[in-house]
Amino acid sequence: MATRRDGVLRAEGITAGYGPVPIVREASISAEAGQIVAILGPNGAGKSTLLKTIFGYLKPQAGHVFLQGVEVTGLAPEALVSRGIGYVPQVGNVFPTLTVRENLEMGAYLRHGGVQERVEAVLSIFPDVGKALERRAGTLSGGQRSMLAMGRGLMLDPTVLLLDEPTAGLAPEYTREVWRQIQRVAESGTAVVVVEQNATAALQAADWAYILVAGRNRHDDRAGTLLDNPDLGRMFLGG
Amino acid sequence: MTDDLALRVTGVSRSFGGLHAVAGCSFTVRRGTITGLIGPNGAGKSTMLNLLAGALQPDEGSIRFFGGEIARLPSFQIARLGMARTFQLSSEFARMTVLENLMVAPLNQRGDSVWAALLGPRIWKREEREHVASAWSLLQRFNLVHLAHEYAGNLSGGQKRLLELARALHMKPRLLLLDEPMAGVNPALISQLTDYIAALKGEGLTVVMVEHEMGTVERLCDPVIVMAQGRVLAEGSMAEIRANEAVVTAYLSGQRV
Repeated sequence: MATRRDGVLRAEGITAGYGPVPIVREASISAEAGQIVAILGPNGAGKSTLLKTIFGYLKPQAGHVFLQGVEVTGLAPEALVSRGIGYVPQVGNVFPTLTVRENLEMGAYLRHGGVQERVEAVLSIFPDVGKALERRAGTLSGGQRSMLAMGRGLMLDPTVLLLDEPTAGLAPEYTREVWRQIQRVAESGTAVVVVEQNATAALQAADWAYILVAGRNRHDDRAGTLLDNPDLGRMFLGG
Repeated sequence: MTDDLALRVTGVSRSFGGLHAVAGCSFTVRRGTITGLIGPNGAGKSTMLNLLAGALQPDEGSIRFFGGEIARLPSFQIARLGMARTFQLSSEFARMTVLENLMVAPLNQRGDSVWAALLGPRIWKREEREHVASAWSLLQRFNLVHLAHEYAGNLSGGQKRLLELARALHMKPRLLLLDEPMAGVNPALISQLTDYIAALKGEGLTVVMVEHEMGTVERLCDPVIVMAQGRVLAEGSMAEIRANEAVVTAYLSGQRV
């Protein structure tokens, strides 16, 4: 495994699962400010489980999570949100009966002021979302919904944003657009950790990538380097 | 006319609204093989399995099962023709014992018909004794004898898988469909479950298996059919599949679009 500096987010030796049998085994990742880190791997590798464990939905059986050097292992999601971690799940990530604007405002629920400024800031990253402010979120297309969900995750200006398969089910043009926006988010200084099934698209946009296989770290490297790695296919197909 | 092919799928398509889950899919399954069906998420594998079993009807195409057309038959008729699939233990079956779970499986039981039930307890009683005997032999085979009178809901995950397998086999099928048999199974049990499935080949049973766990596919399946975007992308041994650039590209793209 290539060596990495300490990051804004560090997960070390995480073992976690939904029952007695762990799905993630001694997995480690780290992300630095302004960096896009992709977590890739075959189906069932434990990528989403790792993300959920980092965000506190699952208590790890072993391992530690550090945010800006401070241990946050096992803290509940609400505690992590107030410490600056945002999380956007794959489904159920917008309130369909609320308008786009209301969804964004809900995302800022911990703030007592300056919400409108945040709305403006987020809309500058997602102008497409700005065009549909008064529409109910349930009427948006898949791509727009994905962007709204990400926008809502940014409302509290997190240090780290965790995204679970933001391009799942999206057409190629939307996939490209979502990745462009992830890049804009990272440019504003947020560390973005993205779990993805579409490894090719992720590697074209991310800075660093971890490959998880059967719950364990298999490899990690600069995304561009991995893209050219002839062994990449084998990591996904076994052997 | 009986084919030597267990299955011949030709030009099968199935859409759900605008989603073309299966789009012009064609392949064959040779009798006596354990044929793997793999592919990235959204490739259409589970939809294809449901089309084979008759849980879904194709919009187009033909499916021949040992030479007979089954594409638009209801699932219970396809089951009677000898195609079995495993089903996850539902809550109702969880409240029955392991032995009772097996006893519901056999088809064409004489006692099922009102006439036979009224006219001849001897007829269906003897048949029932045979079923009980074959149930016990299945329990022995899968090492579940000591759990025969345990509620199926109390079994471990791996044991439940074995019971689901035994229940499908009690129908004495000609072809068995397995949908991700290793999903959620404790890694320590995967090799045991693999051995049980491998043993089926020796009995002339044909198996079609959708699976993501590549180690399992490699150990059990030959040939392996790769689906992507609703159609067949490649077919061959696992080694050939891995070396196939189109397959690798499909997996790295991760999704059907």
